[in-house]
Amino acid sequence: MVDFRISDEQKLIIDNVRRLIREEIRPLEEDLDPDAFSLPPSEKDRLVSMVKEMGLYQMDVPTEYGGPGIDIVTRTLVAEELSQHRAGLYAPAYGVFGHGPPGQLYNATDEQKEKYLWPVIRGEKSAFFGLSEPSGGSDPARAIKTRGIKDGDDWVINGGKLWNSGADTADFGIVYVRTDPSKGREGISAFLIDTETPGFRVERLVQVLRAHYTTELSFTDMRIPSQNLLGKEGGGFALANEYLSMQRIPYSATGLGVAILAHEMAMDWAKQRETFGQPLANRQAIQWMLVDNEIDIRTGRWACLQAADLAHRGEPFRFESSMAKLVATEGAGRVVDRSMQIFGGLGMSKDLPLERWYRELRIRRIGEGPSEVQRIVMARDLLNIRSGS
Amino acid sequence: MHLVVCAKQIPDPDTPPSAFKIDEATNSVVPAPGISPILSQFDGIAAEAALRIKESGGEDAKVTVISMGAESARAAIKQVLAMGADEGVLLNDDAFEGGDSYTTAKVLASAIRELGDVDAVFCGRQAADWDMGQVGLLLAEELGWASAIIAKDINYADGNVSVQRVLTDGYETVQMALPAVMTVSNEFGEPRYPKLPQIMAAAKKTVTQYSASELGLDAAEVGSAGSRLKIEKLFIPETDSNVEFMTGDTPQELAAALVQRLQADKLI
Repeated sequence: MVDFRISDEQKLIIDNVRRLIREEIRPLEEDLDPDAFSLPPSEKDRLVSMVKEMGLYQMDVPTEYGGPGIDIVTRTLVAEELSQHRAGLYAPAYGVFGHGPPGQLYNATDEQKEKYLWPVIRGEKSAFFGLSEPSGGSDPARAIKTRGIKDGDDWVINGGKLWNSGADTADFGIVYVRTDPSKGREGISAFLIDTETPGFRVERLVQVLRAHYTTELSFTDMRIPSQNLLGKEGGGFALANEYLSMQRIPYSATGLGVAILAHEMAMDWAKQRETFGQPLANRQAIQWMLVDNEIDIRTGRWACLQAADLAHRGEPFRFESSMAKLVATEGAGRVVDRSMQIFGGLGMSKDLPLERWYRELRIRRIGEGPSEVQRIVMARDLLNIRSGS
Repeated sequence: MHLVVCAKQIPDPDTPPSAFKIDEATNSVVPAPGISPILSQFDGIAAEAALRIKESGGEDAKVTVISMGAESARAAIKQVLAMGADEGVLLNDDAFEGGDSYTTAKVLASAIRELGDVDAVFCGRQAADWDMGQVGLLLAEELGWASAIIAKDINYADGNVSVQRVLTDGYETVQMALPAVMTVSNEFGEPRYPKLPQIMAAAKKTVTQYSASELGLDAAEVGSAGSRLKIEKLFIPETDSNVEFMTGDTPQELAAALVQRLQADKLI
């Protein structure tokens, strides 16, 4: 039996998040630049304290690492609320709910956890993720050209990475490196690399469609000690564990949040805006757009919740999480696109958040695995084809 | 000390206007699909007031939250329990439906008498849906207790409460001996966010349910049967706007033309 009703506890958690977004985040946002990506530090500190007091700080951190123990279904529902403001897609609640460490760090050795995982949880260090290269990102097993060669107790790493958000301010990164060119996936290892390492260089800040930038990195004869190898040599991709797959579900639901808000705005506008003597809402062309918005939001939500439900029950959810990513991000993009069409010229204006969501949602169809790669993942499951075929 | 908070579940005031509907045949608001009702904001503030007194008091204090409403009103009760209240009471009976402020106060008073040992009752200054602001006073009348409405601050000491009441041109401070009823205004401050551990604990707290007969009430004296208020017509007003420019060569002429126009429309 499928039951998508939420429990009273889930509702109270969602209410808390919704209230904070409505009463704290949105009013602050009115005074910020339309492309703002962060809050003034004093406001952020105040809100982080509030969230800590609520017990909802670092929701993505497992309980054994001091996290609040929010299950994946509730986390998915929360994601839908967290993004319901202008900057919500890429900066949900401007980060006042705290970020968890990169999931791969839970596979780290105790020494590595001490040096990297715990400082991130305590908010003392920040990390970036280095997988994609100019040669590609969707098929990293083949595309990774960054090379690591063992030299005594160290690894000497040369190469570079692209699309590394936050690498210019991070303390360290998880970087995927080819350590054995004779092997495919099994020739890739992950390393913990301090950004102060000689040979590490932020080549440039890469401006992109969204209201932020990413980076391009180069590595020249970086000497990385063997104890910074994360997981086993050649086991870089084995670190892409269930935790990471699970995080893709709330990531997908984040897009639905802005779609919901865009749809609400479009509905109200359609009812009040008159053209040729009648409200827009009386026009069938507009009615169909609004109905299609509703359909996209509902199908996206169901796809996300089904994936979350399976993950919560410990059942396989790879197909469903890829489907959720594809359906929710593509659907949300269409919703915002239609809503802008309904608003006409005003929809293009920076007076409304629609244009920002439109730009940012376009990235969502590519980031965290493009729609086409999600289809490849689903096809593998459907046709029982092994990975790499 | 036993403190009671009266909590009402209302349609979410942030419901988009496009989703707000009225059934003119029954003169009632149609719940917006997919939008959950919420605890009336003023009642959240009333809960905050009761909890602050509970926490500041040296003596043992208990907070009970009471809500009259449908089964769904359990969510409003849960919210106050998650804020820190100890027990909940749901007053649920078909006979309670369709009532007015008077019948609501009557039912609440019966429940408070049933609890027996109540020292103080906290209501929101008004329900944030109908905004009538009558239940608190009527409840005090039913119970025969002292009352102070629209409070911005409440302090308890030695069996008395000192209440700062909001007036149109300032505020006044009154003192009452308990038992008493207070209604709490938004000037009191924000209600707290329920904390995660308390949210989880709220699920285990007791919610007792009472029907009309269990409170010794006759169905004829409560709900629509006992209601003294009859809604003749409920409708969403249609708004229309026209722009008319005054003509005149001087500011004086323009002002005179404006006054004449406003008088003609009986607006001044």
